[in-house]
Amino acid sequence: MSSALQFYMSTLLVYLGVSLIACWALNLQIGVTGVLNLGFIVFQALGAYTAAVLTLGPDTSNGGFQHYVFGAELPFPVPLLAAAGVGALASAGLGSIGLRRLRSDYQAMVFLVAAIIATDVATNVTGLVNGAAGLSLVPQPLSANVGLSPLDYQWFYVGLMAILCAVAFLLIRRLTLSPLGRSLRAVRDHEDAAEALGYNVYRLRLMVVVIGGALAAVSGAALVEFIGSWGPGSWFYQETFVYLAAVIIGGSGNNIGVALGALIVPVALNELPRFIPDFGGPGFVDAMRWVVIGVAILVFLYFRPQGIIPEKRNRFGLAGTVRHRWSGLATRARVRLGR
Amino acid sequence: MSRAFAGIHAINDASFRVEAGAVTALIGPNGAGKSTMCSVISGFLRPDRGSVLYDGEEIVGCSPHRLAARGLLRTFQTSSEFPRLTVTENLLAGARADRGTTLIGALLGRRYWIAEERANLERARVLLMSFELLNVADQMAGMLSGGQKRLVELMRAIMARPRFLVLDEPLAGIHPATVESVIAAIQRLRSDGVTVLMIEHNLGVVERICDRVIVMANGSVIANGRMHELRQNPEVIDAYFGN
Ligand SMILES: Nc1ncnc2c1ncn2[C@@H]1O[C@H](COP(=O)(O)OP(=O)(O)O)[C@@H](O)[C@H]1O
Ligand SMILES: [Mg+2]
Repeated sequence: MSSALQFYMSTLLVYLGVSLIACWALNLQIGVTGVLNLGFIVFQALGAYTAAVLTLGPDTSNGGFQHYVFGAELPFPVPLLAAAGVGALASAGLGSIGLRRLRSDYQAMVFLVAAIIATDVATNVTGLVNGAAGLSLVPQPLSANVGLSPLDYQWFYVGLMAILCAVAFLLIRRLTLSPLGRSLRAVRDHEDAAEALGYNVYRLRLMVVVIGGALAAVSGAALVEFIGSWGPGSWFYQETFVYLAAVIIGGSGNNIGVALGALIVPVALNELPRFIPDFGGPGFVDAMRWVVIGVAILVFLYFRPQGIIPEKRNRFGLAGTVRHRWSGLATRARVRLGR
Repeated sequence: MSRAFAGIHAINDASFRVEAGAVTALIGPNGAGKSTMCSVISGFLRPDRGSVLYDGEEIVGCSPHRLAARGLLRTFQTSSEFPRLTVTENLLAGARADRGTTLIGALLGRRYWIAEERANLERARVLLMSFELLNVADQMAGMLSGGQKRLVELMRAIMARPRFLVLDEPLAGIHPATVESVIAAIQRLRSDGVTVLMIEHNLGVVERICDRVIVMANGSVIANGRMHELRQNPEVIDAYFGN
């Protein structure tokens, strides 16, 4: 592979990693639990800003050309972890306001409105995160320590992303495959019935909003540490719909399907056009992106609402026809589990 | 208690006691306020006035999930299965799973909660067998017939090990051939010491399985007693059997 192609591929892979984490997180909220978080992108942005200001150092550095709060120069995994913490805290705050007394369509509106307000605040309060210009020159993590060529560093970062993705996947998988995951799907399917059976619906929803918010922040932090800049233009509220499209098209509720959606939608529809030359006048490719994403969501909701890979039916085989790997009722399963 | 909806007095100074360990029927014409009563008892609606005592304690203002944790379970008049969960999963969702449904427990993994899950699964199997529904155990609950959905909801509530079970028309839409298994289940609950309050229109069934009957009309309790006594009560005859 030529090094230009390697740059291109590795960059796409990092974007894919960011999308994977974000889509799994959004799927936990929307696909599994039915919390329509239309302000999801805010938590990714918050993670990116947090990681950026905690990597950049005080805002007097670099000649003081950008202004922001809490500037610090912390070693690598710390900005990422701090981003997760800030994402969790902020989503707990917004969730405890938006989720408590409202039905789900109103919850969606609270999140959407919060996203729009947040962009306005970040743009207009210039001392916060440098306003409309955004933050730039964020140093890449460990780049000074590992001593790699720019191309090797690209692949090093792909490796870091792979580790982050693996951790996020295992976390979400454990959640969704457990009895807790079943409770979340029960909340999604019938909130009153779940409440009547003893589930604290508000707390379960808040839980996925917080976990998803932390993961979204991690995805944003990983992105900004790679591309080095972040501003209001990166996270208009519409960007949530890119991830929403990925969840719906891939297969809402299915982590593998959602991974496929994360490959198809954000990477193919959103990132690839950045690499193709502009045609049809300035801004045409960019505008078409939103048309394609909108049409894709509608087509799937109409003709295949379950997505490409639908949510898996969890068979327990009580009738004895199919053997569930956990049921422990069938002899062979018992032997395999060492009983 | 009393409860109005935009001027309609759904419950109007109604008062009654449900005897512990007995099966009590709540009957009355459509619109009498029976379902509203269920929702107030189970914490889904707040009464405008009045109180609900459970084990002698005031429970008005308690959220439904907290009442469920104290053994007060209710079913709904309209089918309310979890449509995208299988029948088995619906039942398991009803069972208590103190290990597997906590965040820590879920993250600790299967080893931590599998024993509890197996025990619940075995109870689900026995219950499904008693309703002859083992053959649909792995089907999505949303694909079942209306009657089967009602059964799933009943089984799901039983899985929760209720102490006081409020059933809103458990026999509505149930196939006649299956009615007997519902009756048997309610009788089993009683012999296990569960208190049952059921809304039911079929007076033959009420007479067979209910110890006491409460009659509501226009939001008020108009009679309270044994079925054979009520059949002679002119007010009840007028409100309920009259037309
Ligand atoms: N959520 C509601 N909003 C407005 N009116 C209601 C509501 N729920 C019940 N009602 C009214 O209250 C009265 C009692 O209803 P309900 O308790 O469902 O009666 P029942 O179960 O005995 O048939 C009816 O007149 C009904 O129209
Ligand atoms: Mg009713």
